[in-house]
Amino acid sequence: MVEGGEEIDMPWGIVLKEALRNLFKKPVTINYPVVNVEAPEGFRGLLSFNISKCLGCGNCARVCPTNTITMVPSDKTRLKRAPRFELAKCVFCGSCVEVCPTKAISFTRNYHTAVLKKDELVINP
Amino acid sequence: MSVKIPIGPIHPMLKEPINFTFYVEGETIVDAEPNIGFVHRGIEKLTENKTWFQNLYLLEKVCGICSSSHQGCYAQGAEMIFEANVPEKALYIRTLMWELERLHSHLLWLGVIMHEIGFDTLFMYTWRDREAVMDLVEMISGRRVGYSINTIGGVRRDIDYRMLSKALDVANFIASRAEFYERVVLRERTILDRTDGVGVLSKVDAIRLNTVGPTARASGVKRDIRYNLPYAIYDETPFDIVTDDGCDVLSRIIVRIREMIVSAEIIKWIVFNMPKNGPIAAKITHFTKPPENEAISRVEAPRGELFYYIKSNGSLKPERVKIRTPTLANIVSVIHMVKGHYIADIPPIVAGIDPCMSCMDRVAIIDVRNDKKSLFNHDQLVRYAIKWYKKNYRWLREERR
Amino acid sequence: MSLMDELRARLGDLAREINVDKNNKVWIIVDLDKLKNALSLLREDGFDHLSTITGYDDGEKIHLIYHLIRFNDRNSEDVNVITFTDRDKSIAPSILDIYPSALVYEREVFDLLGVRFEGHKGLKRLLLPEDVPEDFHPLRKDFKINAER
Repeated sequence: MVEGGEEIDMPWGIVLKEALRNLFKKPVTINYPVVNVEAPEGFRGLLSFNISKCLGCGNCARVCPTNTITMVPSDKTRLKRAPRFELAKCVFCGSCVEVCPTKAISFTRNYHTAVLKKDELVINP
Repeated sequence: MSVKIPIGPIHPMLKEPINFTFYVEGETIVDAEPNIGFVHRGIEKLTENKTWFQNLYLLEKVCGICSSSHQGCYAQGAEMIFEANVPEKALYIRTLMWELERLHSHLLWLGVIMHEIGFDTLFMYTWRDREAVMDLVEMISGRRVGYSINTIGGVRRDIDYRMLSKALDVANFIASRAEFYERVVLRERTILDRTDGVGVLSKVDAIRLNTVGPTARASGVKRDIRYNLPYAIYDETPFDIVTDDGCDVLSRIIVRIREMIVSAEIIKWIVFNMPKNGPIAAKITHFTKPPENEAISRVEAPRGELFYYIKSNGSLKPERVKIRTPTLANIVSVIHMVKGHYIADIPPIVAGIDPCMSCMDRVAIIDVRNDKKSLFNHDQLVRYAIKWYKKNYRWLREERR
Repeated sequence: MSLMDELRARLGDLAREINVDKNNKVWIIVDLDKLKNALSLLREDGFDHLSTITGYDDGEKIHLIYHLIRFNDRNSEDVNVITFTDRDKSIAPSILDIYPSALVYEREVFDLLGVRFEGHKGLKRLLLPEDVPEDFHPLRKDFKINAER
């Protein structure tokens, strides 16, 4: 199974060449909090909610697998209720975005989900 | 948040604690006993309390690395229950994701096994190359991990020309890198000393113990669910089963590297044969009720045969979902593999079946002769192994020849 | 269908029923006391891969399903052997001597459904901690969790 008798006895033969070549290249890692990578188009980041489009049908709350969305009373929609998002529970599956009849819920390309207080990740209607 | 009792299947794969008890005589292991279930999350029971579509996103979380295999396997079984006609394009996109997943999973594993034997240079390179696949996956599905690309009846996102051309680039890049890794693994003394002849599982034993996946194929067992019981589009896809007769950890490395090349070929075939347009999902909504039915779904996940049994009772929620992950099937083989080997060989052998890195979080070593019990954590064990090999490699090399 | 004929001829009286469903899956229903004979016959016929053992409680009895594969290149076949065991007594024969890989699967079914496999030495819980009560079997249908908030 092991082929080529001579090269085996050359310790670090192949990898050393590759390692030396990489010494003169720029690092592939990114200095994250200082430098940010742009998320690609269609990225499923934090949810954004536009209440002026919302009907209050509650489909999003019914399909959500993690109970991120609960329906609370609100005067701003036609059916007098609106979703409340606890984004800390969200798994970014996108069921609510798909099922929303008026496209009131959409994904942003924001992936900075670390916050100091849990309340910062709650969208109240 | 009042789920009180965690019940269900465990997932002995990645970042998951397994507890082994090894019985040793001097340096040689005479018996081993795995103890699993530390991250038992109750997913099987929980599926009975969620709807068919909510379960898609729950079952994806069974494993972070082969999330698409789990979700696709469940979706495939649910489609049999719903008696849905899945559009051809959906099957192509699903298969593309499965193969991309195999690429990045094998690259990840290659890094892990190199790390276990103390060859961190290659670990860095494989994980760097893996980023190319991750970027492509993110571009197609919208997330790096947990793609949620499958739905019952098809897939959720269409694929466009830009993504396909990038998939071609990635496949070519990974294939060339895999050839480089194969060269390195077969020539590098450091790797050969630690893996050649270690963790032997003979072909007869592999068949007897029902070993699955690359672990079985490295023992010369020609079994691959993609080939033997074809699903999705694998009955049209031209590809070969990669096998190797070495039966040791080195063979497992080589089989996985060669499988990456085969996967890259499959990805290229998919790109060239992808239907131009057409629907990507059958019309099943969140509120469709399935007929009373039961289904069996098998998928070749990166680690081996993944098995789902799904039963419906005609309501919005499944009656029973049974999951059998490949690592659970291989755990019996691990016990067999470690017998007769040295303590220092434990990390590559256990990592050789591709379980989690932290599987060996706590290993209890009992010396049969003086009944001393000491606890190692994973880092200590790796350090112990490297030190032991530094001391003993000369006579070992002679002995293995 | 040739596989069906072969199974009918081979198993004879051992199988109570042999069905094929819409997805071309073969289901063989056997009685509990004939399970071991049927499985060892199938094993001799080349069904040497046991995928897993599924336990399922329908409220009246416990179903045990043995999922087998016969690997034969492109013509591989899979069959499922179903047997039923009583819910209160819940005893089944262990098949460890036929399929050694059943070691973990039998322990899992015992753990989550409480089926005792006779002849399995060292039958103990696999996933749940060992200090939970003896009759704690979560996948039984009368076990309720307060999951939905």
